[in-house]
Amino acid sequence: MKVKFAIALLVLWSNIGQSENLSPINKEIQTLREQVISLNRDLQILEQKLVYPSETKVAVYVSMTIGDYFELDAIELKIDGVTQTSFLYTDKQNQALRQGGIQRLFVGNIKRGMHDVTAVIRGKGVDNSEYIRAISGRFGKMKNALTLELKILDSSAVDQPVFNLVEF
Amino acid sequence: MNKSRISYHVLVILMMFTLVCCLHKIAYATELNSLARDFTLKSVDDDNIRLHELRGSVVVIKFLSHRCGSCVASLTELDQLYKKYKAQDFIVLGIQAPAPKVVLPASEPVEKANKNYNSNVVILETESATAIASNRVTEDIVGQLIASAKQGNTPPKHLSLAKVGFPILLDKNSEVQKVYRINDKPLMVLIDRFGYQRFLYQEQASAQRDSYQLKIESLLAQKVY
Repeated sequence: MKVKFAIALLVLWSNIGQSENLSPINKEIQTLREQVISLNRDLQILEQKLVYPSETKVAVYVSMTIGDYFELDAIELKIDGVTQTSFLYTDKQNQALRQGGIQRLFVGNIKRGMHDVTAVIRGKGVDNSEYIRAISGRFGKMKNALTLELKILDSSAVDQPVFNLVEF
Repeated sequence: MNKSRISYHVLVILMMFTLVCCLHKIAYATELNSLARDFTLKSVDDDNIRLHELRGSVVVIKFLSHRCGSCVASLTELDQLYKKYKAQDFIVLGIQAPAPKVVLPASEPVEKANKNYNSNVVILETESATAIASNRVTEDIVGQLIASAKQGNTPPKHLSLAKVGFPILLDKNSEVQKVYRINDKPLMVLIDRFGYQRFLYQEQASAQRDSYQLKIESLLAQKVY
């Protein structure tokens, strides 16, 4: 009986000893994790800079204000007549845009100089009517990154959505 | 001596056969444990459906080929499973591949139109009564066929009609097919509640039905904490 009690105490003591030894190891693991996350972030930033250098970078963002007059279905983006990207929007994505979300529709590279940017927007209006609108603009690509914003606004004056393509 | 030689040769032939079977991937199911690639496609009912928004549900992606007339039977079976397990967050997505563009004039009679096809054309109708077709038939002809089928007439041999309750998505540019590496063969992908591809089936006989039904039930039994 006494032997069993002694063995149980021994096992307990060794476990406690082990848990005390584990604590600095846990801290070390936490530190390593933080370093890995930080490294990963730096690598991603570096990757973005290498793949999309500011001399050639162009980015297009989409935002929606209120959105009562328009339900976005799809956007097709063209630069100099060439389709760069097209995107279909689900109900959840529409809701996210209405709540203030901004979507990065496209990021790519273009040469310096003047470029024509066209966005073909499809959706549904107030009375479920089909909407197809194309808006375009001419923008100059200089040394800095070109950032454009495609705004979808509600115009209470005409009870219709209004689309703008502007530089950020 | 002769017997041992014969048995040796038989063994070699068996091993070769097994190797060939593995290489040709005749095996019914291959488990995959990677995250299913996301996509957004427009459905027949004009809704945009995104795969990653269906996380939390067990998803079956059924790739439909316009050449696969025998797919109609498997679609009916899938539809039965869909109705049975719908309440348990089970979703089936049918992805329709585009067919080569051979558009007939609307005035051409249906019988003459059928003779122009050397493969089966699968026409599907969802519960919302929206009809889709491959690009080989015009909408007028599809409308005629649907109406004819509703009256109880058997569709012509070249055409198969299946009524399903799950969404049918249109992969117009074959983008999703390229991502999932579909080479014009009907394929089914089973995705678990966490968005991971778990099982892959190539269309074989309906003998696989029990197999994939068991897999679906095992995925449905998975708990999400």
